[in-house]
Amino acid sequence: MKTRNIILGIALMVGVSACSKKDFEDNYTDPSKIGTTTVEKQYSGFLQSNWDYVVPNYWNYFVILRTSLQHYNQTVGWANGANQYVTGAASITDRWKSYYGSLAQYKELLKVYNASTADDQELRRIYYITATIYLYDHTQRTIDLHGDIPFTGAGLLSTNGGNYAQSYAPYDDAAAIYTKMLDDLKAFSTELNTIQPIAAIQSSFKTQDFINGGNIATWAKYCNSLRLRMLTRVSAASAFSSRASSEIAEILGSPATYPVVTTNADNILMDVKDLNTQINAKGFRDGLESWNGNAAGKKMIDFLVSNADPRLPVMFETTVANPAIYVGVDPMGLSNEQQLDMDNGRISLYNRSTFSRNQYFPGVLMTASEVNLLAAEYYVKTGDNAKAKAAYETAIRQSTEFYYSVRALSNDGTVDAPATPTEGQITTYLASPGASWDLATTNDTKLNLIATQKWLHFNVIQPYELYAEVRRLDKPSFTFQVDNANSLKQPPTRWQYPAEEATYNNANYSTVQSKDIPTGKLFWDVN
Amino acid sequence: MVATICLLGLSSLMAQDRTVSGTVSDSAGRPVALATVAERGTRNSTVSKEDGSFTLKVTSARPMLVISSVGFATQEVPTNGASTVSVTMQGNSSQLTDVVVTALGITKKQRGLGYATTTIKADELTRVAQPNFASALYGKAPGVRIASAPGGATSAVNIQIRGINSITGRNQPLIVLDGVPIRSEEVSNNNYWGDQRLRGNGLLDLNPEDIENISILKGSSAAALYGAEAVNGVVLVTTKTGRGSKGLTVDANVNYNVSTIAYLPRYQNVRGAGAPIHVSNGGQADDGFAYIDKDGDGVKETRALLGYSINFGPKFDGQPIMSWDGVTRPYEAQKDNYKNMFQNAKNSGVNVSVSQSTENASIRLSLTRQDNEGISMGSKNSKNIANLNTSLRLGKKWTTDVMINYINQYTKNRPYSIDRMVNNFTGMIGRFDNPDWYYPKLFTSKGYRYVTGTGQSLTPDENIIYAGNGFRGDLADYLYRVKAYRDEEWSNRLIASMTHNWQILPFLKLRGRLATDYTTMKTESRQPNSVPLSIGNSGYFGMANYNNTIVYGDLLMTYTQKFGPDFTLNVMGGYTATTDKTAQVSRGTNGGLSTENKYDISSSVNTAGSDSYRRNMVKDAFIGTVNFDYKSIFFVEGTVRRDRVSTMAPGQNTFVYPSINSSFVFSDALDLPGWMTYGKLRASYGVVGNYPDIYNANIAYNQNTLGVQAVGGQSVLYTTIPSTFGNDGVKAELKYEYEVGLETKFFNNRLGLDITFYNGQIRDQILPLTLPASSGASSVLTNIGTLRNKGIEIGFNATPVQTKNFRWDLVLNYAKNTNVVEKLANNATELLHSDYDGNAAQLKSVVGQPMGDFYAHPIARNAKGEAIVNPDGLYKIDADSMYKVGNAMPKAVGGFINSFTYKGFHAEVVIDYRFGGYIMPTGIYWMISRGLLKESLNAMDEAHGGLAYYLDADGKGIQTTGSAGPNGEKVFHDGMLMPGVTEDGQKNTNVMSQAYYYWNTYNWGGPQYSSSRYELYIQKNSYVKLRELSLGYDLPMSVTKKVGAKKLNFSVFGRNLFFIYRTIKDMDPEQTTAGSRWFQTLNNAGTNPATRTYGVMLRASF
Repeated sequence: MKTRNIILGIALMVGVSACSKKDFEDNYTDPSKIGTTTVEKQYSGFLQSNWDYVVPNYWNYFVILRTSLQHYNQTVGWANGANQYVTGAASITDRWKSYYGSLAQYKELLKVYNASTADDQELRRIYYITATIYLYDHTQRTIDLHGDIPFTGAGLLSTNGGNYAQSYAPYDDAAAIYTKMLDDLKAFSTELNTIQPIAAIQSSFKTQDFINGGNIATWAKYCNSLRLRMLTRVSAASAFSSRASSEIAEILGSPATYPVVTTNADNILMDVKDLNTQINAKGFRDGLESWNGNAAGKKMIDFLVSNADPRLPVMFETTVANPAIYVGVDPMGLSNEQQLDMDNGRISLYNRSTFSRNQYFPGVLMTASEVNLLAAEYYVKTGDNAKAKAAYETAIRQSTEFYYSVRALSNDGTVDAPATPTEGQITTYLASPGASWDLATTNDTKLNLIATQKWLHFNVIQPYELYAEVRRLDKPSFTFQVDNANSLKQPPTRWQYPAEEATYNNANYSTVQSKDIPTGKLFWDVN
Repeated sequence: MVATICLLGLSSLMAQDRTVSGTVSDSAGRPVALATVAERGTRNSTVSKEDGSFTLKVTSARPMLVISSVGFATQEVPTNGASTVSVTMQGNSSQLTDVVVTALGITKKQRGLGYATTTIKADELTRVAQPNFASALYGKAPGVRIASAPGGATSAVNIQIRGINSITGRNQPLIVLDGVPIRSEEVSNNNYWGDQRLRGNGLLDLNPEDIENISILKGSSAAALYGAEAVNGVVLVTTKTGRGSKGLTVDANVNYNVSTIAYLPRYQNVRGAGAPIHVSNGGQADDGFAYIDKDGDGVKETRALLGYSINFGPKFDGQPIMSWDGVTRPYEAQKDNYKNMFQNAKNSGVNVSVSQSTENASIRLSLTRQDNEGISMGSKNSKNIANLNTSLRLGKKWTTDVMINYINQYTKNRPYSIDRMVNNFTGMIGRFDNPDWYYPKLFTSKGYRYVTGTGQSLTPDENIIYAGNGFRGDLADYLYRVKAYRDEEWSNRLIASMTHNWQILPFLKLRGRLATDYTTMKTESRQPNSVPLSIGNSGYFGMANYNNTIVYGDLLMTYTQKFGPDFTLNVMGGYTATTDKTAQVSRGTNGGLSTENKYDISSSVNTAGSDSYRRNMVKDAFIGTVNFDYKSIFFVEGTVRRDRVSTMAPGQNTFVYPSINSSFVFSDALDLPGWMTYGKLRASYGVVGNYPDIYNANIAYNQNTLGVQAVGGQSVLYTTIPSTFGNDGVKAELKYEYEVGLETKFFNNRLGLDITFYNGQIRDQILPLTLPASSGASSVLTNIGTLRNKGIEIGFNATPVQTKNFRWDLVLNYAKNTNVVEKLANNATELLHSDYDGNAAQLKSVVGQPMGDFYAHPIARNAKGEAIVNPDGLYKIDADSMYKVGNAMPKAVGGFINSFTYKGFHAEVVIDYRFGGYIMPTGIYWMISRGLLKESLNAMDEAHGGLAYYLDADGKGIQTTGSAGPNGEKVFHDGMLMPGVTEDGQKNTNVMSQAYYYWNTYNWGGPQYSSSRYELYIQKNSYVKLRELSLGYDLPMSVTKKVGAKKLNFSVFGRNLFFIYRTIKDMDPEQTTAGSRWFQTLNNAGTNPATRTYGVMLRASF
């Protein structure tokens, strides 16, 4: 009896053996996470953090763009409804969170970078420069929606060691951020001409930089093209006008020092390399096609058809009801009829094989066509008609080439690939009443041609750029049904701040609250 | 029983040849078999026969008989020299409450407890065949609030003890099964886009049929020995054992019940889709209908409805009209259309148990089969439960108890959330629409998903081409999914424990326990190809394996010392440790199924996706208690616990906290009048610590790869910092609570009253503080605030009537909890939980107020306080201010339980109630905006109180009594006039259509988006509900004998039968239970509808 008790007793003790201190340490951390990172890894983490807002994807297209910018830009057609111009809370909040989520990754990169020795910082400076260029591209888009935004003091929670009280971010003046970005980009553009990372850094940069494949010359083109875009955007604001004209002249005048994206081969894209990695456009289909989000708008279809634009078949499909014609939704139509037309195949769709079902559709950051249209505008304003015309026509050719090349990437055959346009088709188009440069005799009509081509080129792919340019130039002009159901009777001229700013960042928000109206204007929107 | 055993230990050598005979019966006069009848002070004893009769040899001339039986209070009956005695056994309550299971499975005398506990016995849990024990607790314990998520047996049940102890964190109590803390995870069914199926929690697996009793430890002191997880109280579940069953006992029980959809909104059956043309011109004809050119001849000849989601259209006239499926039907309200989206759920349960005990062993084996369906179509769940409970006596000093509870479960298609049909305008089914019209259209003749408009299809003529005519895409999508998708779960769960008790020396005892709760689950998810491969890739197959292992051990050494006859000292020290490991691996096809409906990972179009996670946690504690007992009249106990936990940063992961409690049985100490049977005072003070959730404190990077992104390149590896930020320095939060209580019984237990006051403060609450994204994270873990809960709990029981054949017992439970947010970190004055619908309303906790204040925008008023009316006739909403409309915390909850017995008949009526506390079931109010509910008929014509008006040239409504306006304008009769003034102070005279009023007043969105008045959506939620009703009959012995049974009982029952009173009429107010945390239970009416259940049950003992 006693022996048995002792044996059982021992068994009992063994069964309930105590936990060791090490067990507690080992289990404090999530086994899937790591405690430290490197500049390289965090750099790629930053670049990929908003990939789904660069490469076409479901959330951006369905939730954010479908009822907002795609309507305000009159790219797609839709059925009118009450309160239709109000930017939905989900659109505003989710886009805002995407930008600040990305900014937090950038600030984390800075934290890691700044914590390294001066020597290591020098070695990896290329990461700092290129990450900042990419950040500024997205920062500009965010400013152009909202105006003043939290920037310099934003995204610092981790840098502040988790001290949240210190991390509520103040708002920076939109123009001030523009100034800083323009200053920095100018300095970067010079630096990029000479910087030469050592081979050991260069080889990993080639891998980690999945946008430009480690090509520093391409980054320089991105940087200068971005400057061109920003300078043009602010060119009418009095505080910037002289800087804009001199710096644009400088960029366009010395391509060796300030190279820009000039051919489609230079385009800055986030390419889809492998559908099995997270960066792909598989979500584009549901994002664009759901709820008739890919219906054509009347104005664009009418323009493309009447001028025989060579991009028409690669961009749009003929109607199901009548495969001989292209029809867009008339924004001034009756809601019920608009809906019935869409439901019954009487409206053209955005070419599904080029756009929504093209799982290789790249994320577009900067194209040669845009750069040439920016240049054309500058030449119009400086009275250099020949250069303006050349840039304008090059832009059209490049845009056409771009959309056909994107169609060629597609892995979908819903719509047969149209034949590549002939030179004859393109020259005919360049002489058509809607596109002919020579028929435009005033600066205003010329600017209208440029704006129209921007509208066609940016289209549903670069809606943020398009929305900014439409507001800046007030061209092309759109007619919208007046929404009497809401105080916002026409599309807004800026996006309001997300509700979370008013609730969680109220002290800072209150400094901009008076400007937080949908009919407010950006500082560069002086028309 | 305890008493009996003790008495049997005493002996008398004297023996006289004398007998006493008699009968033992229960309070209803039924014979009690197998009752032990003993003579006090001797070894003489016997048991009663099946008819309750006994004959006992006694020793003394005036023997005192001690009669005991399981489930009854032990009685001492003087014979006073008589040779026959009839004994009526009392109640079946006091016996079990005499001994209470307390923390760590230690049984204690009820009288010795210095804190409130409530015990609920087996028969209260099984009377109406609740599929899980938690939903059987409604109203039965003061201070315990139950809320079942809708959906059926697989949906989670919340238990809440003494209010809310965490502002945003976990509020569910610890569930302990026979001393083993078991898995009972939290669920959230609130995020439709994240998960469309309604989830359950681990406590659903426990089978009420196997439960002997449930003890609820409410306060800090009661729960102190369990440490952190007990901050929300502890539910101790004790399973049935074979102890006390002499000979072989077999119990069996069969039940069958049906649940049907209940408490639907009050739909209107007057009008179909559309609106008056002066409210919304969608191209409708003068009669309000839209006419369609169906035959393609250019003439719009076919009558149809506008494709509107609002139902302010033409009145039902029974005349032919074409619906969206192209079929012409009479134009009539489809009264049961909402109901037709669901099935009636058929549920059944069978349980058989066998038990036996001998001198050295006792055993009980039980097998249960449960089949449950949900009202969501295709949803079902089957469980096989085996429970084995044995106790072995190995020699005089050693006993070993083994408990094994095995649950094998299959779940098919958990209930599918109806979010899209409730919380979404485009999914709300119109009054002229019917799921029955959808069913034939869901699948094309080739088995693919329906196609609308001109979408590509192999069968284009089957396309739904009149979709603009009232077709609800969201509804069709829902119906397609519930019919086509198949999600299955197979799980096995083993909860087992082995406990050794070693009485080393008479005063020294060692107990060791090793236990596990082990779950494995395999899931498969199948979605068929919705379009043929020639059109595109579609379909999905996913599979996952999940396992969770909790290993628990404790070792307790108890030292008992008596000092003289009156003092007893009890010292206990011990150690307990738990490891909890979870791992899940899942894979799913990517891009569709490459072979149609071939459900396997190998069918993946692109490289299959995969996911995995592991969560491992360790915690241990040293515990100690000291207990004094003076004459079993005065008790005092102190405890201390030192916790160590892996979820806090190493080096600061330990915390220590004490408790003390005391009880004084004054009825034994003082000379009280005879009607005062029992009286006890108790007081306690305790601290319980709590720690952050697993991995929440640690700050670390996520890592991942983008694969190769360049030809000849290497994989792009990357890190990101998470958007929910941790905090290595987070401290343990501590709950300090004191309570005092009084327990009394009067008139020989005919009346009983138990009152408890408690006051608890939770300091340094660990919360993820929401941050604006611009700060760099969405939240940060903090020790943010101080919260106080104080309240009163009253349990009252009485036996108003007790005669030979009739007995009426009642229990009234009442609990009132007051909760105050005392402080927030950083001197913040409020904490926002939710902002609804673009700043339309907010849920926040404000310092100095109870948690959970609903705020909404009021009507804008001018300086004189007059309501301002907009030019369109609607009230202007004040966009700049919000006011508190109501608070989410209920003021009082409880239950009222009546049981009646008349001869073999018995009836049990369980009523539970809740008073106060606001909810905002937004989706239900949006239905008014769509013109779906009766309320939206107000003022629709003169009979409904509508004003007559015409529209002037500016579109303003001018009230009139004429039959036309001054310029021949048409007169409408659906006018409403808002009392108030226009912006410039003029009296408002603009009459608007009631359709316009309801459409916009109950619309979506804050003032930025609409004129909707969310203050109207926030409503007080009080109700008194008939929760359980059971009517039973014990078949007479003469019948039971024939089938060889000792007992046969037949009953009919109902659950959730009706409301005696409720403030929210368009739904079951419990329907908003969409998660485990309090703020997930207030707003979402769109998980599943509520149900009402009817059933029958047969119980037998052999």
